[in-house]
Amino acid sequence: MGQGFAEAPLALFTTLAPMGACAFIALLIAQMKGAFAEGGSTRINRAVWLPLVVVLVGFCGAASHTLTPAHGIYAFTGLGRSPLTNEIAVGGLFVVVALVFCVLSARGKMGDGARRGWLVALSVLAVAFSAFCGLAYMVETIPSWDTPFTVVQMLGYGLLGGSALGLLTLEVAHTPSLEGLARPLGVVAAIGFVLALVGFGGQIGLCQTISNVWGTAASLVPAIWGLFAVLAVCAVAGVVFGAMALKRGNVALAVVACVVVAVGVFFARIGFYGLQMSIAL
Amino acid sequence: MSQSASMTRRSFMKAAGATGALAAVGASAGTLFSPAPDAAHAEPEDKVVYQHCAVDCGGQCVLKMHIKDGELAYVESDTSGDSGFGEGFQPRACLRGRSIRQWLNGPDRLNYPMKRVEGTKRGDGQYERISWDEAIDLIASEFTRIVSTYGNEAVYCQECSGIEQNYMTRTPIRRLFNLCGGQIDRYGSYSSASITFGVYPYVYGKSGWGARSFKTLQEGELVVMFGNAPSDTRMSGDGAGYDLNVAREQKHVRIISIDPRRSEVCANEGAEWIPIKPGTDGALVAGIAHELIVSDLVDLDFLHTYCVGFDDETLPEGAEPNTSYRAYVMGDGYDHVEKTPAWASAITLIPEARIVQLAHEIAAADPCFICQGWGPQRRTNGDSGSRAIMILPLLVGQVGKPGTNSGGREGNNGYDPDDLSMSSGDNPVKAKFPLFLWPEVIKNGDKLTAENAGIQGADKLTCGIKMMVNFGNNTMAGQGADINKTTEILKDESLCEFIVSYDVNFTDSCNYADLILPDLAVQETYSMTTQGDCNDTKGIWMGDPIGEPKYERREVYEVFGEVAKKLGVYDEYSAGGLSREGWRRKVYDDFREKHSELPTYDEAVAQGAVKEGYPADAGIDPYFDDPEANPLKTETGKIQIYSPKLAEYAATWTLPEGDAIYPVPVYVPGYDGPESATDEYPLQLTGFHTKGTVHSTYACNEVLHKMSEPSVWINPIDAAERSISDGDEVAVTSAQGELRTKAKVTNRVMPGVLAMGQGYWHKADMAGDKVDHGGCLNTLTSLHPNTISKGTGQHSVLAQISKAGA
Amino acid sequence: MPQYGFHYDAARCTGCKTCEAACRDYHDLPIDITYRHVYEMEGGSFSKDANGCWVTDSFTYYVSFACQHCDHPACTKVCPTGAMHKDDQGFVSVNTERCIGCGYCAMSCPYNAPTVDRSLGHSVKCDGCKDRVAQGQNPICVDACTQRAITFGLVEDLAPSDSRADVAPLPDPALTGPNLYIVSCDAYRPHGDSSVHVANKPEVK
Ligand SMILES: Nc1nc2c(c(=O)[nH]1)N[C@H]1C(S)=C(S)[C@@H](COP(=O)(O)OP(=O)(O)OC[C@H]3O[C@@H](n4cnc5c(=O)[nH]c(N)nc54)[C@H](O)[C@@H]3O)O[C@H]1N2
Ligand SMILES: Nc1nc2c(c(=O)[nH]1)N[C@H]1C(S)=C(S)[C@@H](COP(=O)(O)OP(=O)(O)OC[C@H]3O[C@@H](n4cnc5c(=O)[nH]c(N)nc54)[C@H](O)[C@@H]3O)O[C@H]1N2
Ligand code: SF4
Ligand code: SF4
Ligand code: SF4
Ligand code: SF4
Ligand code: SF4
Ligand SMILES: [Mo]
Repeated sequence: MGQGFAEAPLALFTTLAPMGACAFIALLIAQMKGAFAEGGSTRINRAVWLPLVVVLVGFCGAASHTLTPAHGIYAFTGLGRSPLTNEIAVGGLFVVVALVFCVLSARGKMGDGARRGWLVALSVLAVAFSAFCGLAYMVETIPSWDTPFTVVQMLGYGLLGGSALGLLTLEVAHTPSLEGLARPLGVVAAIGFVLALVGFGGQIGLCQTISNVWGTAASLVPAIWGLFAVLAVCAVAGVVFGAMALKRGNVALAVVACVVVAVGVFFARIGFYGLQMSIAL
Repeated sequence: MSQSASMTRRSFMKAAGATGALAAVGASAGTLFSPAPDAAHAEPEDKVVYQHCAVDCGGQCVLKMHIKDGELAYVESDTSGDSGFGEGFQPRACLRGRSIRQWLNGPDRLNYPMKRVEGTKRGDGQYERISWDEAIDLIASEFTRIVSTYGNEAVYCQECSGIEQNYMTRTPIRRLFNLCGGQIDRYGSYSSASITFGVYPYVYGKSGWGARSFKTLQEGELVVMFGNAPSDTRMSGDGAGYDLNVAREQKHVRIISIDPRRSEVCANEGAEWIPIKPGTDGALVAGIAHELIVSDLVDLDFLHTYCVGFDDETLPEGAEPNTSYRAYVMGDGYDHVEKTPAWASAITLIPEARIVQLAHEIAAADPCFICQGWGPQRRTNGDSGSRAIMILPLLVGQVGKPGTNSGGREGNNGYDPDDLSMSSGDNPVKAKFPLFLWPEVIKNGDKLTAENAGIQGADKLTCGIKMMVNFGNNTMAGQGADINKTTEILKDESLCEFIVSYDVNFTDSCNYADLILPDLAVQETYSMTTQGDCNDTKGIWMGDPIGEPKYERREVYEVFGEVAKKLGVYDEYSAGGLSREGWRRKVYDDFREKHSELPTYDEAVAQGAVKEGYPADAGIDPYFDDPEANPLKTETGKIQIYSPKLAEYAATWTLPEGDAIYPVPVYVPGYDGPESATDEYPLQLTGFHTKGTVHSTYACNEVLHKMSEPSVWINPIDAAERSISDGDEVAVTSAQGELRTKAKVTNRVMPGVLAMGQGYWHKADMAGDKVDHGGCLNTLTSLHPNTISKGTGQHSVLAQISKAGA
Repeated sequence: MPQYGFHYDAARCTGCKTCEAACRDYHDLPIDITYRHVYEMEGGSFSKDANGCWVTDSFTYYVSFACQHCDHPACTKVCPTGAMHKDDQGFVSVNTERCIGCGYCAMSCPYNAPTVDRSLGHSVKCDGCKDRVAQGQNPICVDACTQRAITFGLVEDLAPSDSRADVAPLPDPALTGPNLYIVSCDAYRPHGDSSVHVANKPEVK
């Protein structure tokens, strides 16, 4: 798997954080479908912590990747210049907004309009954050990463994972009439599914043609298509388990859906980091 | 650079003013000598101690050792004087000298005297710490016992390449033994025995005769090098590698390197490489000679005036007809085969057209500088191959004029290190043996004679070596040939009865010693040496200890002084009580009597490095003015293409099967040579002196491994046949043994040949499979000497290679 | 802003690695980290002629380099903390007080100059021996070179006629504007030439 496993903390971060963030899109859909109407609202108001916690676990992974997190405060000085800072900044912004939302939500003091407003903002931020998770790797001197596929796959992972996690959140909250969500949630998941596979597959394809003095980028991870297969199988399984969970209102199935998607994305991320190849040395 | 150069100057003034000691250094710079190495590099809190790298690489580079808080912090080298390319000279240390800090503090250092544990055998590696008193008693008593039982001829102090040049290397040991009745001595070295004792005397009558440095090369001339790799083996900033680089750039010389491997001179913008099958130089020269003869390009005037034996016309008295070199080449004598370029091509694997072209290039070049390293002579047929190369320039009259060389190694050096050395006194024992045969001397000493083993100074030896002191060498299980066979001889305690290893590191050789002594490295004690084997340079480097001795390490002069006291000769030994430093003063002052241009001792010590650039010696031997009036020291007084002495040896010496001596340099393949390959061992394995180490001395320094990975070079064609990829762990085998190392798959070595850097430490389970995991080449080499000099034939090895574990 | 740079005469270089060794010693580097790299490049092959003799068009060359203190450093661009910075002398170095050890600089530098030293918790790289330079000395690698193949100074003083480093395995100099000026040699092949390969991988990777 090349050098990819050395970057496991980062893989964890880019798997969990966009997944958690994009789960709020599912909440937005639920809100729009009226799932937050009285009755279900107390549980759901608490359940919104779940995706945020997933995001935070992801951030912990990111922090554990750095050797001297104590200097992390300086990470904001690269704003606008460093794509990594931009990513952290958008992620940070998301976390702050989400935190406020969750606190307000838990106090049960949010009106429908306000909630919708917050969720729209969070959804937009979630998509932006996923995109920035990709943009962070579009470095001119790393041609194997410097492709739109890098962003596309991150969006895909966010949307796909987010749908699963969003579903789980709603299930945990015993949200009634989930069937109504099936269609819109299915569309989001489908978009995520396509972007994920097109993004990662496209990048792998490109990496066959990119080479430096050490060889082609694809050859850095001999098992790269195998990792793609893992992603594809997990994504399909995720969608199937998700659909079943939705249909039966079964929390356990929703958990399985989340886990398989996360596992698939995680392996794809390991492959992604393994593909890192400099333009020269 | 103008910027930083001018800044250097400014801060030099400041630094010199700021620190008293350094200011004194600046002030002591004489006019004749370049100013003392710049003091600007010293930060005020630093102490800078002058030392030098003292290994046997020919360099002897200056090391400025920066001491912080009593510990060596880093080293710098000499950048004083003109740093322009080609002007002045700077003994800049190479990667190895630059990495000396790790070596000096390395994990292999010896710290205490140790004795082999009672009841264990040599090679078991069981040692216990003892006191210095005990160690000194043991040496004195064993010396006394062995001398009284076998005589002084049974005592031997082995060659010391670890500190090749210094005013005090192993000399204190030899001085003591000489004062106590003497010792058996050796002649020749592992380095150049064959060319020095098997070639030069018979061609020019004197070793190194007619050699000129690359500094004398002329505009646009041609340099033809056989088995010479000066950018590998003369790496210092004032070495021959640098000189050649200067000449290439400034004199636009063209360089051809004839070598089985692409050495560093053929990288970047260097030389053209002509790959040659190892051990076939004699055939190549014969093929070139044939082309020169049939094209009427030989310089007959030169050959008839100055040389004997080119053609039958100039054969010396008493020589048989048709024994000239021409007769050999044209098929009129010896084997009656014409040595056409096609014939040579089939043997050397150099295309015929390239041989023909080479002959014409050499004939057309005027001047032409033909030289050889010591690669061709480090073979079982080394005497004949090396001698053939030496006569090539004679054929075209390219000896004895500006820009030429005599066909041997290039260059000469300024101050003779032997003149700047403590005296070892007179040795009452006159017999000498050829160094390479030392294991044979241990085993069969009393059977060795002048005729069967080249014994000199006596017709035969009276006994084998019974006491051997190894100081600054790792020959027992490292640098000597055929470690498996040699260690069997050493393990037999009835042969050599007492063995001492006095080293700085615990090498595998130490495991065959009865007593191990921990030395201070040169940099840890008082030292003094000359400029080394750098050509047309004169320098004296002073070294003071970089710190207090650590553990119980002690330097040799003091230790053998204690032994001298036990043996009752301390007064003579110490010339009336001189200390190690006292000897330095004495040796220097004596030397200065003959070299009044030198600064005083105190000035020299303060200066650290005393150097003098002088114009390259381009003088021509008076022999060429008038050969009759200025005869050479050969039997005929002339340059000898035919040697009467060798004709005599051919008739009288007892030689091993397959070996032969001819009066002219006939091509003979030799034992395990280019024509002996078998299905089992189809490849020729050749060693070389790698940039990654100087022999075994720096071979334990891990940081050097990182910069120059120990490996065996194999051509992609041979590698593909064996499914070997670059970086694979491989097993290399010969009739002598087996080793493991990494494969470097590279076109830098020709197909059919494996090449290995030599020097890496032997690491094998000698009670078990004896497979060496250290990549030590001498696991595979043989003890078969070359024919005339009985010097090393270590690089005639037939081998096989495979993926390890496959 | 002044800009220092290296001038490297490839025709003189013999691949001896003394520059690297001197740097390792002076900066007391752990064995797996080097600031200066000497790449051994190889191309060509051997073939047999009609008579079974060997002919070859193979060649070998060395390239010695460290950090190029680029005009447009890839490393500073990506560094989130600004630890990797270009100072007012043009030296690019790591402010260890800020570095989080994320390794982005190492990934992005096309010259493989920075390395994250895990034991120190931050990135390390050639700093141009700026402390020595401030005292009017040369970088230690420059003074060490046995062949005087490397010189150092303000770029305006470094033979500006020589082109910026354009040799495989280095990247297109247009990318970062390396302050490495090279006198080329016969064996050199330009950047991107795929007919050469690295022959001393274990020594540089
Ligand atoms: N880097 C380094 N330098 C050293 C030393 C060291 O250990 N390391 N040791 C020093 C010492 S003590 C000595 S004696 C000298 C040794 O100096 P040399 O003996 O000159 O060095 P070698 O590397 O043994 O051989 C020189 C070249 O001869 C080639 N060669 C081998 N066999 C043949 C042959 O049959 N024909 C031809 N034409 N070429 C052949 C080798 O491939 C090599 O490139 O080096 C000194 N310098
Ligand atoms: N196969 C093969 N074998 C070879 C060669 C070859 O080309 N191929 N080359 C041969 C040649 S040319 C030579 S010259 C020999 C060299 O072989 P050796 O004569 O064995 O010399 P070195 O290997 O340099 O090792 C010398 C020892 O000196 C020690 N030493 C270093 N400094 C000091 C010091 O200050 N004090 C003491 N007491 N010890 C010190 C080192 O630790 C080391 O153990 O090897 C020969 N062996
Ligand atoms: S090994 Fe030789 S060239 Fe290198 S520093 Fe020592 S003396 Fe100089
Ligand atoms: S060489 Fe690399 S580390 Fe140095 S300045 Fe350029 S991009 Fe940065
Ligand atoms: S490792 Fe340090 S210097 Fe490098 S990019 Fe990260 S924070 Fe910047
Ligand atoms: S300038 Fe200094 S830090 Fe940079 S490579 Fe040279 S010696 Fe090393
Ligand atoms: S020290 Fe000089 S000659 Fe040696 S590798 Fe470095 S740049 Fe090349
Ligand atoms: Mo030697």
